[in-house]
Amino acid sequence: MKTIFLLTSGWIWGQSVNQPQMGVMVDSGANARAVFGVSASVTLGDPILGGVISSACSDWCIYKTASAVVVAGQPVAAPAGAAIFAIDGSTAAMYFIAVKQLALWQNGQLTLADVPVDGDVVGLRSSAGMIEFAIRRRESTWVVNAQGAIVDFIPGASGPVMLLANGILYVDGDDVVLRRPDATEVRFAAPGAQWFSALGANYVQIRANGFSYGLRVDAGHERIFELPEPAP
Amino acid sequence: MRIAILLAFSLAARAQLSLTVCQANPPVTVGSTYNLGNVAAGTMQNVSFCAENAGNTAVTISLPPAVSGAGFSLVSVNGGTPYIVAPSNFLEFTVGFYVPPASAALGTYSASLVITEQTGASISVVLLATLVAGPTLTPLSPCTLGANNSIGFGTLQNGSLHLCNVLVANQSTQALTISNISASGGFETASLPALPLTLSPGGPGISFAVEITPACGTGAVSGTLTFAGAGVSFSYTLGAQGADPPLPAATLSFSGSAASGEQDSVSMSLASAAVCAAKGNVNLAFTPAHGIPVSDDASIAFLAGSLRTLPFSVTAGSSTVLINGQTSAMFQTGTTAGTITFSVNGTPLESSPPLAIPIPPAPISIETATASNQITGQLDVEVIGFDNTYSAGPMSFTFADSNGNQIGSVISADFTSTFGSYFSTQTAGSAFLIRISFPVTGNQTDVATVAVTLSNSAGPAQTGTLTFQ
Repeated sequence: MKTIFLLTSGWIWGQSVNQPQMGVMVDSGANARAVFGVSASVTLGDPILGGVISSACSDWCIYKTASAVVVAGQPVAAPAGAAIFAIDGSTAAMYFIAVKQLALWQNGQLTLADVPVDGDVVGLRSSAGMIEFAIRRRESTWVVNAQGAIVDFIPGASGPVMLLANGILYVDGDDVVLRRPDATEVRFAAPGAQWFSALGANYVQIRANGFSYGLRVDAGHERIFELPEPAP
Repeated sequence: MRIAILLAFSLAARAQLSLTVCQANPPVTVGSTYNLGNVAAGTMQNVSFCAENAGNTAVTISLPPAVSGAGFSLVSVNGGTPYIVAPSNFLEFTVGFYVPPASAALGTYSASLVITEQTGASISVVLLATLVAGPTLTPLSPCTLGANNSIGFGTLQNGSLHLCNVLVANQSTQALTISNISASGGFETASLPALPLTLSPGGPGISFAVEITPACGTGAVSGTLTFAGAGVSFSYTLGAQGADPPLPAATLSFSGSAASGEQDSVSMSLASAAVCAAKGNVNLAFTPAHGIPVSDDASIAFLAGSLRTLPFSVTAGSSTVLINGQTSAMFQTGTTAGTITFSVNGTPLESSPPLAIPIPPAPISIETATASNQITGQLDVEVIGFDNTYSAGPMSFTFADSNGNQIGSVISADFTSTFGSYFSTQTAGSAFLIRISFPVTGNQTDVATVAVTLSNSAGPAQTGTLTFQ
């Protein structure tokens, strides 16, 4: 069938202009706040949730408070302490660091599972239900799948690791390194980087030395910028 | 020796009051005479007396204490007539002795002090003082000689050395021996002649300096300059008003690209080291360019606290200024053309010209652009960016197939009204997300790519080729 285009300005079905929301960050007061704007020019919204220890956002957000996982304002009891999240569509895998417990968030339910690999989990990736782990063993960092097979090795990595859909984010000395699948790297100076969280699609929040940075991670557009803190 | 004794021991009724020297330790009860001791010509000697009521009834005194005698005077009385002294209470008053140097006849002076109760009973005391030769002190400019033997230094900048040259002469008829010269209250003497020394009557005298370096933060300061001689000392009050000096000229510096959508830094330095520590504020202000239909852009702010004012501090001896505790302060340039201006206030500075950073109008900046064919029957284009001119509207779309062949003609549309409505609601800059949907029939996957051009008053901007997915 021949494609018929109704491509004239008179046939534009609709247009809308809105304020862009980059995602959600956790401020220095442990409040989750919407981040509006574009790279290096953002403003913060009012607190969405307080007492946030960990968070991750794509087109939805999941938060960890002291003792609960919170999605869409609904808390579900969870092991204490921080968590590493990996959002996968409408589900999320998570690892509770303090108790070394794996869990899956799906349909508003939290299902606990054993960690199928050895070592300290420092990063997590979930794609189409397949989970991969960044594992630290004797100061070496590996990426392994749920069967324990080594997928990748991250030389020089220390501190947190974030397994992205199109790369790996890790700390090497005073740099945060974004390594692509083809092994090319982009480095960003961020001394003291100690925590990564998915701020939104293609944006990562980095906490370092009391500052928060936003890092755009989509290929060809990599850029780091400081995130503002709210007025005290 | 001249002695004048007022015979006041009349046979009046016995007074209920008794006289003491106020706050003396140990207590001093005043009898029929009281001797103020040696007093140098040209210096004021005061003594405060307390008329104490040890009785069971109040005592009324209708008139102020009467002091009669050359050189003596009633300086002050704590209260107003009639004075009513309750039991176990007292009336305090001060008597002074002063003889100007020029008219000084050295020797013993006397006066009568009489306090008369309403009943007619009275206390009478003979006051004695011996006028001795004293130095005549002349401070040189900028210091001044004030009343009651005071030397004023005026207003001084804290943290710096200030000195006052003093000439000392003996204008009396007797030789004057000075064995020690000292200063107190933060003041110090300098360039003193060898001591002890003797000033001859009418001789050339001596000179020395009194110095002070008021500490930063000092306000009013007072001290005493004391000459000690043979059996007598002569004191002068020293006074100054300290004030921290203004900071040296400050320069605000900018590091960055002076364009919208950036994060730059501002720092502040001083032309020379600060004498005193100081604190103030660095302020950020923004004025939109002419024709921009908004009055401000809240995204233009310091990143620390999302504020437009941050505190600065400088330590004494340093020319490095810390802004909010850091050597520089990061700020966002926002997404509106105009002028960002930094200024300083909160503490005096020799000069602090504001720093103005013009942010020029620019074509639309595209953060992300995507094309989607995931909804049957329509093609969607989404662009996130900002327009620092607030004049966006004209857009054009060029569609192509998978071989790169253009499909149809370029589609142009004007979204000026849509953008205008959106911008009118915004206070935090011009960042926008626009979604445009096109209807399509047939196999919409035949449309592989689209290139979008967005224009504003500064020119066009292209998304590049977007692949539908």
